Amino acid sequence: MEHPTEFDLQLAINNFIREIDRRQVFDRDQLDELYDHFTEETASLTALGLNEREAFTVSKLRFGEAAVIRREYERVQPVDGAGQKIIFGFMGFFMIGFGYSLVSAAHQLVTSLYRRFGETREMLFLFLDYFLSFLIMGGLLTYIVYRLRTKPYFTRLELFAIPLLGFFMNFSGNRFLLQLAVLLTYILIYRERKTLIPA
Amino acid sequence: MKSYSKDLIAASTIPIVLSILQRGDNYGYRIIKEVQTISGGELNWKEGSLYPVLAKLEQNGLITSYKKKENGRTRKYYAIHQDGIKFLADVKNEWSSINQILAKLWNIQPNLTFS
Repeated sequence: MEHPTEFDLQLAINNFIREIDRRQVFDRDQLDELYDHFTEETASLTALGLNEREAFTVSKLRFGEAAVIRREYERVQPVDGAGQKIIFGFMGFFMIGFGYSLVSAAHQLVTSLYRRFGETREMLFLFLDYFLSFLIMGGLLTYIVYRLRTKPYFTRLELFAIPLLGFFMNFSGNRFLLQLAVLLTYILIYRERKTLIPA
Repeated sequence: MKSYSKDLIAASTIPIVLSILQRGDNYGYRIIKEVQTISGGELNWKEGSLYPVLAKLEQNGLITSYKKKENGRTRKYYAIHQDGIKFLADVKNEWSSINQILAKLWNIQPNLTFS
């Protein structure tokens, strides 16, 4: 009997699937499907008396080489690999820009609140402005969460729209909350891109 | 165990998958196992090759997929679409014709019947 710390079957399955999906273009359903395949195959092999390591090795052999399967997938669902890299380059650039904007926006907000305190009409406009920003931010984040849960990669339209949005938000005044929304969106995209298969 | 050429396997994969799905909805792993059972273990695909094929068939609208909970996990099941049934009927005719041509050329009795 193999000691459980010697071989982590779930980790081995996850690593192999990640090798197939090296470009991280599979949606959640596809990842789950492959995970389900290996789980069932290894379970049937361990039921025959193989240990987990042996069962995984046999499953992998039966499944085929990761590179070959990856190429077969790519024929079915081609990926704009260069575009994905460019967008993440843009995101890094805008996040640095955001850091600068964040400091100046916070400074402006504090200053304007201090000066305008007591002037009800102006405060109302300020409130509406930020309320609108909250609505836009909420909508944007809801969309991104929904979108990435179904397909964790970008379409051509998004490859165009996301850098444009970042550019607009970073160089058009000091809408602090909208800029925050863009930053949160980028962080979310980055985190979801690294999504692992649930155990 | 017989060894089939890559080309023959590639050409027969889609009709085989569609035929299995015509018998009833199924999921990836079980489709592979059915192929092995039906072929008496002679047709051994690289199992991973099935999934891109399923993705392609779904993209082309020949099959559809849905999720089903089984034994605490959610499985992706595939079902043949009306377009898939029609496509399969056409493919059956093609294979039948080819079978008859080859049978004549090789002087053997054609033996491809459909239920």
